[in-house]
Amino acid sequence: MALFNKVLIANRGEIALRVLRALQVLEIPSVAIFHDSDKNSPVVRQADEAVEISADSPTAAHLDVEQIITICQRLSVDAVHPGYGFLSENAGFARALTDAGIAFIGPSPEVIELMGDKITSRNFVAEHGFPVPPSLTVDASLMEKSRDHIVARINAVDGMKFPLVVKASAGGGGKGMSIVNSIDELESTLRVAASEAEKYFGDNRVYLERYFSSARHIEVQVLGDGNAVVHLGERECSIQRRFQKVVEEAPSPAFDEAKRQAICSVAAGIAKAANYSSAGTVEFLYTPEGEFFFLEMNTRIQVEHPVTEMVYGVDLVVAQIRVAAGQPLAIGQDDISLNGHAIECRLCAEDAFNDFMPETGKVLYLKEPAGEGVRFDSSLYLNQAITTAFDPMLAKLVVHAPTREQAIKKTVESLRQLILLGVKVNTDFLIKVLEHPAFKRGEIDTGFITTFADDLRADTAAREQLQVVLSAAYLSDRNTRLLLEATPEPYAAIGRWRN
Amino acid sequence: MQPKYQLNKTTHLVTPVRRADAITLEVDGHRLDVRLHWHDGHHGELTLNGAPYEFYAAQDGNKLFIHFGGRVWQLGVIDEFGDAGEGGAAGGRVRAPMPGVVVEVYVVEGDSVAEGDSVMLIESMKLQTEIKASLPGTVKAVGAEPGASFDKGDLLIDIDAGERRE
Amino acid sequence: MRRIQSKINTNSDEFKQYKQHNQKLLAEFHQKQEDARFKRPQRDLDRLKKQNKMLPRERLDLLLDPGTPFLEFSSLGANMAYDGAAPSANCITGIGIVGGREVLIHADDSSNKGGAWYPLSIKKIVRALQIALENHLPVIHLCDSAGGFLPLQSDLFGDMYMAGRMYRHQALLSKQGCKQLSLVFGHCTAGGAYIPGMSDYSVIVEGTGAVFLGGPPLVKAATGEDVTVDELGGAGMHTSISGTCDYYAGSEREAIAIGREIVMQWEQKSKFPLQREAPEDPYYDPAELYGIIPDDIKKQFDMREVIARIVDGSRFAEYQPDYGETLVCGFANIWGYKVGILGNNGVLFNDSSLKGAHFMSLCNQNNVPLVFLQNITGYMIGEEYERRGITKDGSKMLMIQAGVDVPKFTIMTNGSFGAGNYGMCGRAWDARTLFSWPNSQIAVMGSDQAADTLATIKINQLKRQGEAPSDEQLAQIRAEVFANYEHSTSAYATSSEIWDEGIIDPVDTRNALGISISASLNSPFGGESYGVLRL
Repeated sequence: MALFNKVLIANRGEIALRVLRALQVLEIPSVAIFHDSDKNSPVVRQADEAVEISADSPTAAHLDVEQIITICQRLSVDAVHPGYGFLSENAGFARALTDAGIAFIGPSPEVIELMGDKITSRNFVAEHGFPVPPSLTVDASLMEKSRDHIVARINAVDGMKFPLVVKASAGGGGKGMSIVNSIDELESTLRVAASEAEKYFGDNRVYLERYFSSARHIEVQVLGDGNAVVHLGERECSIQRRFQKVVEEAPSPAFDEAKRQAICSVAAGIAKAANYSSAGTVEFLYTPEGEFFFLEMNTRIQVEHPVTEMVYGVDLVVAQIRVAAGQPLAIGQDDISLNGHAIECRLCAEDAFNDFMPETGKVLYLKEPAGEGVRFDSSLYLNQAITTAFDPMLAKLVVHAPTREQAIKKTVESLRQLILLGVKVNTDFLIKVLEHPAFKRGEIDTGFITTFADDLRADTAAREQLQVVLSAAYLSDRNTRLLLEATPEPYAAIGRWRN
Repeated sequence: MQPKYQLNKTTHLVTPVRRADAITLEVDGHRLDVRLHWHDGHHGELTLNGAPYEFYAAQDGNKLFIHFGGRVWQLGVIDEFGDAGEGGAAGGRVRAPMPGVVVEVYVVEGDSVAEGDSVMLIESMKLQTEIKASLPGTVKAVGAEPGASFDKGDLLIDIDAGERRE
Repeated sequence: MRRIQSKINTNSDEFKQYKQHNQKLLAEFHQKQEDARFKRPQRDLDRLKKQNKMLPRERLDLLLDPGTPFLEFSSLGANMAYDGAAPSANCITGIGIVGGREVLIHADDSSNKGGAWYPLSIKKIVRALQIALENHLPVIHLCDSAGGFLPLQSDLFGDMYMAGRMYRHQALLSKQGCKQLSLVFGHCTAGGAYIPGMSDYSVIVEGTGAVFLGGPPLVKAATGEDVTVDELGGAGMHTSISGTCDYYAGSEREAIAIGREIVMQWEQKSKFPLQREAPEDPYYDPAELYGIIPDDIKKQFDMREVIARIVDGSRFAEYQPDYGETLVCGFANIWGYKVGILGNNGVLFNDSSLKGAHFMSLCNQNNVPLVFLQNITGYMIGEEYERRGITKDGSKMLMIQAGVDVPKFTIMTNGSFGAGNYGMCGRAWDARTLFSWPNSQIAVMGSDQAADTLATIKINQLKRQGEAPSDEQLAQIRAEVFANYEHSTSAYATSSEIWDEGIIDPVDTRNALGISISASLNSPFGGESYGVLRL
């Protein structure tokens, strides 16, 4: 018997296609929803059914809970997979679905709420005895106090010292984050941060946390069914720009089996304490000294989940669906073992060599890299308009190889094989990162891109390269082709000649 | 004509010299013998002074994309005629298509307008027509006041191209 | 086809001596050409810049397709007239490629005297339009002329081949289906107004372009009316009110862009299917021509050596190689096109005249264009030859040459004297194009004979007046007469008067002929004729 009668995919782009693949594996009928601007995307054609959703903007359409639930009811959908982003961590959406008798493929609304708030999740983790970074939550009233008072408040927290990260307590996703190095900087930043927090989130509380400038961003994949919890090792996600991940890998080059066990058992412990059901990710800061602190828990499937799938041979989305259908986990911790190394690169429409400015364009030609251990997750299609309406991430290249060294080599080769014409993407930048000696040695932290900014600049082209490119450009140019065809003999053969 | 391409803010000249068995090009002043074989509409093999190179190409208007050597090169096709005065046939001048009367004028001299902005409403032969700005710029002259009549060909509005800041 | 076996020794003293001589001539030629094209008073250049006008050659470069040739006509037209006041006869004409179409271009040169038309400007433009007519070429006019040069109006206005002929040619071109486009960059006043007026398409540039029968000063004088250039004949008026011009251009660049778009809409008619093979560069280096053409017009050279440096693969199928040897005839390919070549290897005798006449008949019946390589002192004179009917045989050659239907092309490689000029398709015999080498000379007779004849007349005159000139005086008289004659019969003198399509560097001969032949195939030829007479 099928797990569900019909599952609606409440997302777009590559993750919608990814979820569709899992539904196809499980032979569950699928429903795709799409905004008009995505009407030609592959998931619309490949899903069993596709329904248009409308709103002022494509993003608003995908956030329209009411519209989505109406569609579910109309089409007798009994489960919804939210993917990542959009409504994936919206407890209200999960609850509305549950109330309508539709399964939300993810954890319970309560767990989403618990983990969705930085302060409550942090407190929850700390209460259960797991390490959290030194931090302090303050509100606007702190600004009225004397400098001594502020310093005293900071010093009162065990292990708290500059530099600090300042962020809106209710915020997320790297928005409105800043780093301060001194009490002077803090004072000026605090005022802005509080007013922005008030403005954007209706909550002026500001969260201060010790900032580890050379820490790694390590996260652990967990799977729970409400009772049992297993972990699927860590992912190294330190290569970030603007607090957003660009290159992820599993396992982390910093870890041996003992360290892995230490951090993974903490992650599994946290999930267990929350009676976690579905796939989730526990994010940690990992300092050069080997300390690690809980950052947050993501209660959804992550963008970078394929690296874990590749090294553990587990289909995480399939597992999510099974658990949501009430099945217990099919695997125990002993059934899982690490195999080789996997790297994911996020291909983004951006000018990586110009402050990662977003780029727009149109997909004019696409040839995906292929080969054993090469996975290219995208929903790109010919003549697709690349606009700024959605996230700039266009595709993910995931490569699996027996060793990290081989995985790096194969990833670079695959990036060079990818032919995507019509919009500027960050391929060259990714290659620069992967080929950087420090990256190759595994010596990375979240400051990598800033630290090595000078090494991560665009190459200047060699003359020979330029000659090939310009010759090819001239001969491919539509204008040239038209004129070359039209030029009668003997004029073409005589060429540029004057008497 | 002189074909020009922009790559990373630098302008490069590609000058065709002659086309016999091979195509002779001058690329930034260096003479090259080039042969080209298209495998399909996008994938070609270029032989440059005897050495073969595979590449992929695609064009979208004046943007050209070449994939070569594991990289994508984005080039701008420079239109030699591009700096030819903005906005097609009549520049910024809009003339009366037929005799009539001005109903309403929406702009005054010195106003900034975008291309397609309505600048005037006219009526002739019991038909009202919106007169639209033919290019973005500044209103240089308004040809007639509301209520005034005009003949076919009279200047209704004159717009100076450019100089319009957001 | 067999390759000509060249007998030239490029290491010989003679070769080196000739080469040195000819290269000196060429340097002089190129300098004159450079000056005619680009040497302008700074004042004129500044004025154009201030008016936002491009130089005529800049317009031309922008108009022509990249990587294509331009065969310019009469670059040294008027070089010996008007004290050099009208370099290149104040205009540019030639054949080029625009939007893949073979077109004839006429461009006024406003960088000198406001582009005014001198009598020789008119002659040059009329000739260019005649080439368009004969070869069925579309025409692009780049109009920027102040109009006829008034002080010389009597030499350019009322006669058969003067200004009116330009517009009549325009009408006839249109009648035979040849498109015309005018790009109006400057004023087209009076007669000049008919150039855009009689074109099928016209583009006019805002501000600088204007078309009217009478300019504001003339209107003021005639009717008292005060009117601005723009009101009277500006771009806005003509494109929206009078309909005299079709397209309004905001700038010269835009005008050229619009012009190119227009041309790209023109149909491309199929050409006469002349026999053609894949082109092949000459086996012998054309630059060796410099060491082949002698340093004295009286010295003989083998025309086969010239042919070997013009035709494809230096291959030549010679006709009657052992008969009438002073006229070399045979078939070859130029840029792939099959041609019949006639080249002089000495004076024309009875047999060489008959051979030439016979060969032209053959080519005509075979639809093969003719190329004449002139180096001719004339038809043989003297009692014996008159008795053999040299006049009769020469007449046959002229009759057939004038009567052939295939296109003809002439190159003045060296001397062109007397009736030989006629027999070998001189200017009066309607070659589609005629080009001269810098060393060439055209005259009724050679300089020596002419100097002797003229000196004799002059001396006899003096003697009749009772003077007895000394030997020294006699020699001086002859030398003066000789120098004068040489000067007035030089290629520069004849090219100045547009007796040809211009002087060319000998190495450019192959390209000039290739383009001329290609152009000629736009008009159909070949039809019924008599059988070929073995004369």
